[in-house]
Amino acid sequence: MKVINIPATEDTPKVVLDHENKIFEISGRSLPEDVVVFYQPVMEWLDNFENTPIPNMELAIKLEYFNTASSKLILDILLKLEEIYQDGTPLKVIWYFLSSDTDMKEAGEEYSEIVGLPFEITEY
Amino acid sequence: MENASKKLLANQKSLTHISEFHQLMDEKDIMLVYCGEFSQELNKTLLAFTERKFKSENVEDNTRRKMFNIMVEMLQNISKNKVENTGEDPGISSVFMLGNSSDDYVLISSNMIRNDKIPPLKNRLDEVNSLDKEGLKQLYKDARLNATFSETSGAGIGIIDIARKSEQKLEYNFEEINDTYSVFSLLIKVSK
Amino acid sequence: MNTQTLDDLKFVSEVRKQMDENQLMLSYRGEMSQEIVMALLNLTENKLNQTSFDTSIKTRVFGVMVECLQNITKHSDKGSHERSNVFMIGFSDQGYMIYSGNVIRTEKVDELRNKITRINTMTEEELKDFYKYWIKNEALSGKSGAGLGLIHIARKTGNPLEFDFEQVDNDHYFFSLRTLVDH
Repeated sequence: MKVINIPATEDTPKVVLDHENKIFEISGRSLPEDVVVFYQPVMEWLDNFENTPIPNMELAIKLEYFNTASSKLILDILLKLEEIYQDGTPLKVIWYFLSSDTDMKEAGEEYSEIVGLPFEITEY
Repeated sequence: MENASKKLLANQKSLTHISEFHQLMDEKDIMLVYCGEFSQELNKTLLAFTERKFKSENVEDNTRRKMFNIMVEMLQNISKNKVENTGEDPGISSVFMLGNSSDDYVLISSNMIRNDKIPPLKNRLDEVNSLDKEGLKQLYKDARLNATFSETSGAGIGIIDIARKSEQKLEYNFEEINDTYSVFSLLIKVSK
Repeated sequence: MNTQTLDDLKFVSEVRKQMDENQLMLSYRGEMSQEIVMALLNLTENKLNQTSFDTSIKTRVFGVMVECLQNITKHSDKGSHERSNVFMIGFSDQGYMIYSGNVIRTEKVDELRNKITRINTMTEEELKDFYKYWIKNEALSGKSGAGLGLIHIARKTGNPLEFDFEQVDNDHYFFSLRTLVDH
């Protein structure tokens, strides 16, 4: 499995999917022009991960801002993880929000209502 | 929807009113209007916006550089010439605009000015408009040597620099508001 | 249009008056690419950061702007028209006003009008459920994505969406949308 390490830009988040060092993170801002294209490598990585899962992955989602188009792709990522989790691989999502940003907290809560997997919501 | 309109309309002009303003922008081919506080910080932001817009539209480097230089001078003139709050401030907001004419990009600034500052500024504008390229070059050199002149007129060297970059006549207008203040508007063209 | 282009100073006071009356801070008219969207966002974000409002208010204004601007880049009809894309933002004692407009094809008008009218009748809870339903079931592919953005705007502002359709020619309408983010 390939390691993904995409640095942040002003309209795309930093994405690290590194099973060797056990770092899994999506952080920053997500408002790309074409969300499908941007998240394509992430979805492919998850497909590979599904075939050769590693237990106890903790995905940190630490978004400052995401547009509605990204919100759909984030859900797709979470639904994929839900599938992997329900197939028996323990994993966890940690949703970070700035203490002053209640909207981001609510966004995390809404995702946790939609998907069935361990989902922690934490202030930073 | 009904309630929505009522709430918004309580303190605001109707959508039709904004739409009329949009029509004016269309008719005059205005690209950008900023109205409000001008600070060094904001000037940087407006400059960055313009650079980015023109870059993304593949405007020639040389034209972009000229626009940038002229804009810096115009914006700094607005933020430097802030009228001190004397209580008799007639509350005219400062405006910066960017637009098109058939052959040129057009930059416009408009802000309040104390009446006693008008004569030296007007002299400088007329002087600059009467000179050719060589004359402007000479004036620029002289003005730089003679620092006190630029201090009294405020926009001294800036105006000469704008004229040199624009290579076209500067258009201006003073509109008196009361005994103390006028509105000074300046229109600069840069050929496309 | 070209007969009246910007080459004299006569109308400057009219523009100032219009900006003041509509309580506008910034008006942009013209091309709308992702690059220009980002430039406009930077511009207003810098301005917002100079205010003392809560981060959550700033994030909301930012969010509404993104959805309005990206709706234009995605759905604006690319042909040449009498009317251009427009984006305006203003600040009043009520909050931030965000106005955007673009030309769309006539056949899209009914669907869009119905969508907004429906969103405007919904309560907060209904909007939340609608959002969840939409994000789970409606694909983003194709050109129907505007729905999610509009629901998002309605949820974030807490205010109904004010809109208008103005006929440009047989095939086109100018769609405008105004929202208010309270502070």
